[in-house]
Amino acid sequence: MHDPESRCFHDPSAEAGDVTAPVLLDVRDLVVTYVSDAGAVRAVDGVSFAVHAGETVALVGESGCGKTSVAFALMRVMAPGARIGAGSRITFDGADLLALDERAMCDLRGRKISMIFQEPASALNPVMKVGAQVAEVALLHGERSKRAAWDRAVAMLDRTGIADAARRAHQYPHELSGGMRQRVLIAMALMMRPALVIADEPTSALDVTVQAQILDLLRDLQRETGMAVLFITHDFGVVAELCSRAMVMRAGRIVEDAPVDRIFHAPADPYTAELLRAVPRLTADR
Amino acid sequence: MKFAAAVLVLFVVVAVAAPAIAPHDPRATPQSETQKNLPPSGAHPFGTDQYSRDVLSRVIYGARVSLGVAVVAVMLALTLGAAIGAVAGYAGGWTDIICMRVVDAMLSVPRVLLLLVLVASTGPLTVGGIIVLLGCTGWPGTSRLVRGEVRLLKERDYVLASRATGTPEWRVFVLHVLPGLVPQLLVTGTLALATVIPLEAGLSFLGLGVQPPTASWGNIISDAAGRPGDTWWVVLFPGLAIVCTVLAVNTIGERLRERIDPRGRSRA
Repeated sequence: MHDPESRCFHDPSAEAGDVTAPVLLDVRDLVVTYVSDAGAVRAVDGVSFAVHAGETVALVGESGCGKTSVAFALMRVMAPGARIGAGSRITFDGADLLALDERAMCDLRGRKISMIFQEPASALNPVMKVGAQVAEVALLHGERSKRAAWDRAVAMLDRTGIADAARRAHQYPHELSGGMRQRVLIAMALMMRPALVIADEPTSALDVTVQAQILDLLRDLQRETGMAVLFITHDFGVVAELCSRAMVMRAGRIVEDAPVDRIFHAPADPYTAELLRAVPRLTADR
Repeated sequence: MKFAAAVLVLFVVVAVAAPAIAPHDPRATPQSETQKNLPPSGAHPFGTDQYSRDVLSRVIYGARVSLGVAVVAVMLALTLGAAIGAVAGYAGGWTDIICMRVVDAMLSVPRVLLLLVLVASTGPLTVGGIIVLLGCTGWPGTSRLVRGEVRLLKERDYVLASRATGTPEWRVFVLHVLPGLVPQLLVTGTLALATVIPLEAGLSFLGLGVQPPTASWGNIISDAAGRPGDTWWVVLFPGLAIVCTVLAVNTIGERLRERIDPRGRSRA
């Protein structure tokens, strides 16, 4: 299914923004440590990168390399015991994210930066109607009328391709399929038209056919809103499909940051080459 | 379950409608010597005590006090336990450590002993005082349960996801953590009721709880004259009321617990 070589011949830059756009997110020397009784682990060990407005960038790497820790650090939603290192700097839209107080950060989250989670089954509250969960985002960010928030939620659900959204909004997560639940999460993330969306393996928990639909949806929405997407994945097929640039992460560091063409054709880092070789292929070429 | 619920409903109805169904004034003490320590009869189905009062009426009014004290005390204990447990589980760190050591300290002393020492130091209490005392000694178990549940709930993906949409921490708690605690609290509260009813009865029997002439199931028993065997009716009927209520409440609590048992719950 995911044969990167057959895919990377299309021109990804045409649809995924360009690097001449202004820098939206600038990360310098990001360090995330997890402290536990057993000691401290540096999950993210001095990561620096930039994301330009409207760009789609992939953050690729194997499980446990620190991809998700980077994502949570950008949102400043930290797991218990996780700490952002003192020398780290995150600049978003000109503001120093690490200097903002919690209130300002709450205002930013969901409105300017949002996140799509990996597991649609567990990222929705099982005892809340999906419409209410989407409407909640609007209510948090300025919408005063519950009625209007609900209508906006239904409109957003409709936009993410949920058929009969007005009825579906009244249902609970367990009544929806995995693909539909992921659409709900996307609706929540895109409700306020954020400038940056962090998509943390948004298709990994889905069937292959549903994966393709969700990727198409994300691409459409990105084109429509001009948002930047930081796509966290271990799937090179997805990278080739959607992204203009890819950053390869290993053991808490970024080992290569290059346009997708170059990553696929002339990987500079031996680890990138190794990762690419690990992608299963239909055409046996040995 | 149905039978237990029926028994409980019966007692609640009796407690609420006490003035309407009690045949006599529970505090009336006729001066006539002939009314003392009468065995059950048509006029006094549960007999009379050493002060010539009608035991049936006292048991009926006692239901009000005994059930009322237990319910309010449990609600107080649950509120305290939930609040302290939630703070400990949510905050973690030193707050958690301190809260849980206080809980350990309180649980290390038997509750009856703690209550006896407290009443002994304060002297006889009003009904309100007993409620506060029972409530304030009942929260540690609940707070530990709630803490555990909060620690699980706060790391759920949907809680993180909610934070990632900009939900302030208090709203995350109200919206996503609190509803998850309700089933656990319901079960804990029901089972707590089954321990508080005999506790109050015991204190009242010892004269440290509800003070006469107000009737509670516990202090009715202590109004038996001489050896309990001599006026068995004064001991038996309030005793039966206590046993039936506790059994009914316990059965309901156990069933509720089975319902929310994690093994039976679908994984969220």
